[in-house]
This record gives sequence, C-alpha cells and structure tokens, in this order.
Amino acid sequence: MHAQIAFNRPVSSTYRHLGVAAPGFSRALSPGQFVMVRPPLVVDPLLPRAFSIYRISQGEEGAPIVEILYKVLGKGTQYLAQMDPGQAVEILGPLGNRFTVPETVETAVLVAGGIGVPPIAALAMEIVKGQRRLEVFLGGKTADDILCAEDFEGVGATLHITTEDGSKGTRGVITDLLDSFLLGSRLSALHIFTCGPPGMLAAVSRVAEGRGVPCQTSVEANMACGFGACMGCAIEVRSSGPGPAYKLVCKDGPVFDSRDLVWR
Amino acid sequence: MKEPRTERVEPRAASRESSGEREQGKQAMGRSGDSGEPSCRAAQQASSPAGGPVGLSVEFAGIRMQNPVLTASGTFGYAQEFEQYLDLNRLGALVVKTITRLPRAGNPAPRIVETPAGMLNAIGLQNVGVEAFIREKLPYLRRLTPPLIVNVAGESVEDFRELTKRISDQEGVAGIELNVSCPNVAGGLDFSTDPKLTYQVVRAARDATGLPIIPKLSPNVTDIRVIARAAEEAGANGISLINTLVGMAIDVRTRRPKIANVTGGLSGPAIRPVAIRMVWQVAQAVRLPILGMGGIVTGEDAAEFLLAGATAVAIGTANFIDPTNALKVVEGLREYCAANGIADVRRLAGGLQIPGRNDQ
Repeated sequence: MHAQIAFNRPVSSTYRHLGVAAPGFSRALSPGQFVMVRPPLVVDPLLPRAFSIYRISQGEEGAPIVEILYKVLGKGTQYLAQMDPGQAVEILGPLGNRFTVPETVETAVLVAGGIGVPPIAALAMEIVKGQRRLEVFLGGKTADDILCAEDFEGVGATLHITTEDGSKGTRGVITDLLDSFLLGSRLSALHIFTCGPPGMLAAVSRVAEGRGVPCQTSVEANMACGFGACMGCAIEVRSSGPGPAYKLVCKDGPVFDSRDLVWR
Repeated sequence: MKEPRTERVEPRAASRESSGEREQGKQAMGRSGDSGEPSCRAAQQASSPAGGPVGLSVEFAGIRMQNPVLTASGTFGYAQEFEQYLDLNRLGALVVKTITRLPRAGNPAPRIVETPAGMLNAIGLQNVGVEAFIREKLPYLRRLTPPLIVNVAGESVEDFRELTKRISDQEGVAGIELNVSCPNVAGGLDFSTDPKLTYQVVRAARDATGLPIIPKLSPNVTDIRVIARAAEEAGANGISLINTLVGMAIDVRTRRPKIANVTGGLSGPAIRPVAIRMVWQVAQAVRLPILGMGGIVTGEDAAEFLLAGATAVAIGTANFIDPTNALKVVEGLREYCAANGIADVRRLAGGLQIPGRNDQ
C-alpha cells in the first residue's frame, strides 16, 4: 500500500517514532499486530521490515496514521531513520494475530523492554477501558530502552522498572522484580503479556511457567514477506510427534501462548 | 529520496530505477487495473507502432499462457496467500511451492537473512505432503484460470516417478516442475549437479506422465550446459533456470552463521547477472524453451531474460517484498515493448545483440 511519512523523529539516542499516513489502513488497532514497511524503489536493503503497531491516530488530512517506535540497528532501520516527512513508503498490514485478554483476568501483568514496549503500550491503552488492574514491568540495558513510561502512567498503571546499568529504576533484570511480585500475588486472576528481546521473553516465560501464571508472548523473527509466503519466520513449537514442529511468526503469531513455544 | 549521507551511498546506488520512470509505471498499471481488461486481449492485436497494443501471450513447454510472467516455486506459497493482494487470474501461469511425498516440517530457525540486494534462505522444503496438497490446496488452485505447474521434489528417482504420476493423475494440472536442485535439505536433493542423476530423474518423470515436465536446475555447477543437455536427452519439455546459489553469511559479533542451516540459497537482484548468463548459455546449448528466473523485480529485468533466450520468466523473491510485484512485471514488460515498438513479446526471444558477433 502506498503511504507517506507523516513524521519521523527521535525519541532518544537510538529510538525513533515514525508515523505513516496510510489511506485505507484499518483504523482499529489490535494490539500485537504488525506492519511491513519499506522505502520504495530500493533493492538494498531489499526486504521490508516488520514493526509492531504502537498506535493508529487520525491524520490532519483524514488518512489514518500508523505509528511505530523503532530502534536504529541495521541497514534497514538506518535507511528509514534518514527519511523525511512527505517521502513515500510502502506499508503492508495490519498483519498477524493479537494479544487476547480473557474475561476472567483481574490483573494484567505487562512485561516489556526496548522495541517490545510499543505493542504492550497499545495493549495497556486497550485494557484500561476494561477497568482492570495494570502492573507494568519495563526492563532494558539502559534508560534508553525504557519506552512509553508516560503512556502507562497515563492509564493508571503501576510501573516497575529495571535497567542493567542502573541508569533508570532498579539495577538488574526485570524478571527479578516480576518473580517477587508474583510471589506476593493472588495468582488465579493474573495474566502475563510480554514482548521484548529473546532473552527477556525466555526468562519471563520460565518465571510464568514456574509460578503457574498464563503468559502470552509476542516474538520476533527474521521475516521476508510477513504474510505466510516465504516460511522464513518459523519458530519451534512443542511437538506431539517424533520430530520438531514449527509455526510461522507472521501468520500463527506473533503472539503465542508461551507454553506452546520451545525456549532455548 | 533524501540525499543519503556518505556512509549510506549504497542504497541510493542500488535504486531500481529513477523514481520518475517508476512512477509512470505505477500510474499506467493503475489505469490498466481499473479498466479490468484481461491482459490477453492486447495479445490478440497483430502489430503495433511504438505505443500500440502489445501481444504478450506465449507458449512455454507446450503450455499456452496469456503472458510470460509466472511465479517461482517457493515464493508464492499455494497462491491463496496472495489472493487478497492481486488478481491471480492475470498471471501467466502459477508455479506453486515444492511438494514432497510426505509432509516436511522444514529447517530450524533462523531460516532466512537479508544479504546485499538479496537474501539467503534455508526453509527446508516445509510442505504438507502430496496427499494433503491434493486434498487441501489443489481444489483452490484448480478454480484459477492460469495454467498450474506443480513443483515436486523427491529423495530418490523412484520418489520423482511416483510424485509425477500422482500429480499428473489430478485434474487441473498443466505441467510439472521437477525440483532437482534444492540446496537446503540434508541428504542432498541436489540431483542436478550430476548429469547422470539429472537424466535419471527426468527420464523417470517422463515415463510417468504425458504432461510437460520442466526440471529446475541448480546454478551450483561448473557447466550448466552439460546438465541442460542431459535434461533434454531425457525428454524434458522445458527448463527452469536458475534455482538459488549456495551462499553463507556470518554474524561477526557472535561468530555464528546467520542461518541455522549454516548455508542457504541466495536469491534476489544480487543473483540476476548469474541467472542471465546461464540462460544465455543454455539457450545456445539446447532446443528446449527456458523459464528464466533470478532477481526479477521490474519489466525491464524480465525483458533482459527474454533477450538472453528465455521464453517466459518467473518472479521469485520480489513476491515477498511486494505481493503485487508479479503483475507489475506484466505491466512493465508491456510498457517496455510498447515503448520500443515491439508488437509481440515473442520477438524478444534471444534478441541479444553482441557487437561483432550477430552481424557477421
């Protein structure tokens, strides 16, 4: 889908906030879903990049603005980082499945870090309308990785923050705080929703399973197409047969029940 | 596009074409799409001065097609994945993802990684197996109007014989592409690095069906012409060129290979010059028609393959980047022909002119 950059501004030294005016794009946001974005006319970098949707806002000229937060990491995001408002981009989506909040959940425990925060922020903004308690755990290497804190505060969430270098919140990793929180809670009404770097997801998944708390996790994978054609974004799931089994992050996910995945 | 900073001149240098030209292409495509005119109608026009109607229909390996643009196996799923993005009935023919006798789970992750102007993949022939294909995928494909070419891979000559027979017994199959060249499966399914094995596989498939058979050859050989001749002698009706080039990429921070299979198949614009060279070589070595593929993104890329000697082309990796890309190639090819006074795309075939050689 042809679209146009509405804004593309830094939010910290490594993260940027991109808004893409996309006429015809869905106005309803399903937290967890993602888009594939690429600059047109370019063969290097070749592939579109997958980004979780952070927000869909209303543009001044009527077209929905798809908002994402991204970290400038490699060739694709470096290219994107130097694009200006008004320039054309191609956007495909919304793609994939979404986080689902069961009726019975009283307290939603959100755990995220870095570029995993935006879809979790989107979920928090949706959940608050359902009047549930929100406990939000944000972790990162440095203060830079703690995104969207004001969004969570704005919806009345209780925030728990850790950084590995101690530049924000408690020094350490987020699962330390999460585990002690779960220890002191009435577990039956809890549900964990998480998105972040692979190491964090594996650790959160272990803690959740250890405490018997259900956990939905949104995962990342190298992806060429985003709609199930390339089969490149396979993730290993627990297999009932003799050999390994895989699902596709783009179509079967990106949100999975963490107990269905094989964590290594 | 904003002027890139010095450390990022590369993307600019690799830009497909000037944005002005590309934009014209898109607008023209929009008009054609709006009119809903089937692309075969233009093909019925006989002659054209520059800018006139262009005949696009071709016959490849005995299969008639409304235009010479196909989908490359492994990049288009079983077509249904693309139905929401483009009108599948406007494609020249459909080549669907490799089917094996039994279902295959595929390779561990990560399976793909981007490389300069290309990508490496080692999917590992993940597929539902031939029986589930016939039950679950074929009914949908049969309802589409373009000819269907089913791609099969076996672990043995006997597998190829059985698969070919099983598929050709089904209604609605126009041809069978033999994947004799998958580089990513343990045990080595790469029959087409050996002319004797290539001959045996094609011969077995030949004995099993009256449908056109089209072996898809590996580029990972010293002399592709030797393999192509073996396929011709064994009774192939056409040849697909090329499958992916075996490649490898290493993450220098972790010192690990970037895909779990260690090596993978390189595809995308990066391999186009290799594919063009091989199509050109094989076109001179055999009488079989060639389905050319390897990094095609635009109509002009397709024209390059036709000039080198291909009868039709297949769009591969570009389907991932833009699910509507194959139809953009159809329109781009039409525009290229119209702009150059070519009334019929078939006149491009082998039209390469080498100064000092053709004119002797």
